[in-house]
Amino acid sequence: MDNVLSFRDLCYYYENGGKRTTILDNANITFEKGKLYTILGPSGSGKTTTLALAGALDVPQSGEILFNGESLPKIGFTRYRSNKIGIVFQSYNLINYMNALQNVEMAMEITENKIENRKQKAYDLLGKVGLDRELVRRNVNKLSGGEQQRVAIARAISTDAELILADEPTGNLDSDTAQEIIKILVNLAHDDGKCVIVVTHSEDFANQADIIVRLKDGKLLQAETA
Amino acid sequence: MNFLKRVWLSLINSKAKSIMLILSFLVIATLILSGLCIKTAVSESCTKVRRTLGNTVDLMKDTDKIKDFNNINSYLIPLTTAQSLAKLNHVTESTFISRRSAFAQSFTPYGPKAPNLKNPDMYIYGVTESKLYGDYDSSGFNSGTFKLIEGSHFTEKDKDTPCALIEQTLAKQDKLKLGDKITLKSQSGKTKDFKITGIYSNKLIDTETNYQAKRDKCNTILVPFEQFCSFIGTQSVQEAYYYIDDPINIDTFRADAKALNLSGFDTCKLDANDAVYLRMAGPLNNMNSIASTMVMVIAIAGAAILSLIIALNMKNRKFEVGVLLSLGERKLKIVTQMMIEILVTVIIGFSLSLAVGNLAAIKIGGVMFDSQKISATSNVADSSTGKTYSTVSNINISVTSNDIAGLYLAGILIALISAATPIVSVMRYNPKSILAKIE
Repeated sequence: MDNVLSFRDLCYYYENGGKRTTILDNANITFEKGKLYTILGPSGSGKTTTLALAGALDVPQSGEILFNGESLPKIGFTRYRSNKIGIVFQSYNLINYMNALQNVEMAMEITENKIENRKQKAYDLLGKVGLDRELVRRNVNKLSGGEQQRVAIARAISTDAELILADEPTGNLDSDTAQEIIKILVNLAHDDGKCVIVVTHSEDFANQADIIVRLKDGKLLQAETA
Repeated sequence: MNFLKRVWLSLINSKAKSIMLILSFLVIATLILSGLCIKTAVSESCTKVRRTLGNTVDLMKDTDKIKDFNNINSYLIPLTTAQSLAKLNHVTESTFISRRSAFAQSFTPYGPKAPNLKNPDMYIYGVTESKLYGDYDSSGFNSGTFKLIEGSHFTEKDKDTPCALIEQTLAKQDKLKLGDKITLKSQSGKTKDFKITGIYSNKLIDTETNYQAKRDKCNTILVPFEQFCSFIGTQSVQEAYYYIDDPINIDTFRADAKALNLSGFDTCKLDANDAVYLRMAGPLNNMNSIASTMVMVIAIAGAAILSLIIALNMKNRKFEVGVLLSLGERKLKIVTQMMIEILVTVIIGFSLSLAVGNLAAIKIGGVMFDSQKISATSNVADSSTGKTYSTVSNINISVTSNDIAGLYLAGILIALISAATPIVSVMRYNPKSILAKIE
């Protein structure tokens, strides 16, 4: 097994007006390379929080998260985000004064991973996600939702990260475009050997994943799809 | 793409904001530069005024601090104090002067005096160098009032020689000539012989209408200062004159003198024609104060306004910061990027100000100068010497390299201060909370 990410006895809660809401209660789970995981659940169930913890955008109250056997605090949260993972957001979160090419190049400039010929690689990645050379030179504000999400995916994989986290990547897209995005994410896992974890409320998306993870009573329960 | 390209893209993306910041810096820089140019011009003018007034500093008792005006000792300064000041930096020469009256023993003073009047008739001046006598009020040899007719001046080298210069009217009356000895008796009863080594004329005697004043002038004898001290029995001076290498060093000399904390110095004053200087340079000093205040107020107000603009700008870039943090960019690098963006606008704005700053400085300086009512026809008279000096009729305002250096230093400080608060807030950003709020 190639375990990429592990949660060990992870606890996370938040308090609001004196009331405590537990999201994870001694949760344990392992994510492997080459598989597409979907974290499924209704709105407010804690899916995005779980993804935020996996992306070191938040810190659990107790327990640990291990990446390739090393705890996140030991790696360093900033270094973890720049070198080990790529994140795809529901609303793309691209820098609006840059074009598609520049957004992807920027991620490669930030990472400490050695990446040669950044510009050419950016072109290649954007081509891989279905954007031609003319489109990639446009300011991202002038791209459609689906095109922007493709740019976000290209950016997420540009740093050679082993782990891709996607938070509702098809949430703002029409069904046809959503299918194209799903296909890209599936290929990342199966063809490129990435560990892809997707938060979604779409059962249709979940059915195309290798493993569905559900949040129940603070636990992460995984089940393989057929 | 590299980090600096991100800076460039950010600047050209928000052109309107960048231009607004540049223009803000341009206005602030123009006013600061004007203030700095005016200060430089005023400083140069004050230096010229100082040089016009000469390089002599007088040490004397401060009459405001004298308690007993009838006591001669109230006017005396310890000799050691005067000598210590003469050793300070920038002093090229010094002259000590004291005066007492004495009795003529071996000759007859000029002019009859009232019978039964027992006051001494002779005025003995102890001076370090006879040719420097009267320099302080232009009443001596160098001004032409006194003229050496026979013999030679005595200098500091003659301090051990009991020699004397006498006035020609006295010499003619008593048929005294070079080489003759005269005996004087001090008020304490001590007698001393002096050898005549010079005879001088005083041109004011011929036009003197007051008999007593004429008598006093004819009966004035100059002797070496050390000989005077041993004759009178004193180790003090009444006045000392210091010649400074450059008038611009006068204030330094004064500060050094004060720092020595010498005996008796606290009741003295060092006067460099200050009354005249203040009248000539007073309006300029007012301009300097106004310009200094202008620079300070504009710099502080500018920093405050720019802080608000930058803070607002930073708030609008919160999303961008959140994205960069989520990609793993370090906070320090984000802050550095924003600082560079601000510094670039500062440099552009301040550089543009060099083109207009000179014109603004001349205009503002002209208005300030006129407001001080300085007129080319105004003259200032020195009552002690009778000289008149022209007041400053114009000042030459131009941008100097020091002004430019001061401007950029001010610009960097303003940029750092303006950016401080917004940057501190960026360092506290949490990417999850930023992006969660936006989503």
